Amino acid sequence: MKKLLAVAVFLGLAMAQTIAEITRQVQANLERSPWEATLTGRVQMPDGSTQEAEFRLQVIPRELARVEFKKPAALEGNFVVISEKEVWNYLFLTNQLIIQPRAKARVEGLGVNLTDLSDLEQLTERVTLRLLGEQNTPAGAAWRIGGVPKDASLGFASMELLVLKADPRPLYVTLRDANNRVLAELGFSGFRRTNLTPQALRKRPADAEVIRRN
Amino acid sequence: MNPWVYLTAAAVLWGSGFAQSLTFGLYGRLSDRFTPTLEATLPLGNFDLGARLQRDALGLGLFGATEFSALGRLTYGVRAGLGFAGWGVEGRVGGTVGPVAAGLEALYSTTLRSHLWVGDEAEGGLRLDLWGRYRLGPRETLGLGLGFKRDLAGFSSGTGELSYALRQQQTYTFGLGVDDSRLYALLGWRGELDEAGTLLEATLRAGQLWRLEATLTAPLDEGLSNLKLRLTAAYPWAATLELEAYGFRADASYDGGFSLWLRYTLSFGGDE
Repeated sequence: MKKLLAVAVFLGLAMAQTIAEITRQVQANLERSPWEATLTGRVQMPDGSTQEAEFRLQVIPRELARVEFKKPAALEGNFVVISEKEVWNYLFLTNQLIIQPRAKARVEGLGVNLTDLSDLEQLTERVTLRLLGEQNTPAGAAWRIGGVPKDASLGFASMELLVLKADPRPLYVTLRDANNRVLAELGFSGFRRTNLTPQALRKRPADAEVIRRN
Repeated sequence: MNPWVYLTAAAVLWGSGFAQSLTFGLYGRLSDRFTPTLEATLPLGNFDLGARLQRDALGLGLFGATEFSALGRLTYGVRAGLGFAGWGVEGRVGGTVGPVAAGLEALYSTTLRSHLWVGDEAEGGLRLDLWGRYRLGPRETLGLGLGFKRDLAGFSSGTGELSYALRQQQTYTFGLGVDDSRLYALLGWRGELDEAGTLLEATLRAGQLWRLEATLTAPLDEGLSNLKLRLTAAYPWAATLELEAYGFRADASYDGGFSLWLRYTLSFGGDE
């Protein structure tokens, strides 16, 4: 019995180490250079309807991230820029740029904080991750990772993440609520490393009304 | 207003460290009047308190907003003004959620609103404004504006405007409107002029009334500083020219008489 317990503890530790190692690899890989990717799939809107979603994500590691909304059509033209200290939120329909301290701003909005996916270490502070196994995807072999939020404020009850093994980065993410209903299903495509500048990520219409909310 | 009151109020607001922004101004209207102006915004819980002070009037307002991140926001506010000439109140609510943006504004004053605040219109009585914007698709927006006013003499009039905007590389706007039984067509263009992001927006209302508005906004640095130049010209003859950069703003206008308003804003909102 003691032997069995020892084996279980050892296996548990080994799995924990593996997930920590995967997280470290993804983090190191995504922090190597600026990159961009497109996220496509479906998200549940606050009114309960599910809509087709397409977001463009651009990241300068440890500095800036920009999410541009292409779909749903109601959000086309809106974007969010996240820096260490601030969140910029641009609303196309009113041509307003709302600037809030990062600690106060709610970036989630759509049930998913998209920038967390570019900063897995930050995600692990808020979600308990564990390795569920491996899976073959069109992009190659991938780790299947499950996650449960450490507190309810994240807006979802469970998540599943596919991480490409050959080039450790997220491929697919699914968020579910407490009733196991899908809140968001998003796939990463068009991942490429590219030269991004802070100016390009902060690009906005010059005549936007700037509103600071402290 | 005694200039010492003006300076003391500014010093108290500044020194208290509560002010989010302070705007000092000087307004003059040829052969008419001259006044210093002071505007201050202070955070008050989840609201912003806005104060306005000029020679013969004081205004206080309370404004708030609820943010829904990329999905939209809701704003609301009330303001009251009191001066030697009379008093006025106004309330507004507006916001954007998903494909819809809308706002409602109601104003009432017993004197010309320009007597309570030099930047306001030279009209009194009741005014109601409703506007809305709806996204027909990712790049098409329908706009609607409705207005009603009853002036101090008891005369009522209304306005209505319907527009359609198509956003490609540039945005083209077409519309029709009526202002107190005068019909007009609306044509608009908005687009960037260069790689730096210099942006021009021009709107012409033409028909039984004429009004041209053109705004040029040029980024001055990599932050949020812009140079803004705005011109409006209308027939019956009226014109304004506005220049804004680095917290400094100058407004020159002609509407039967010339006026000039110079302002400088100090922001304490914690820049980037």
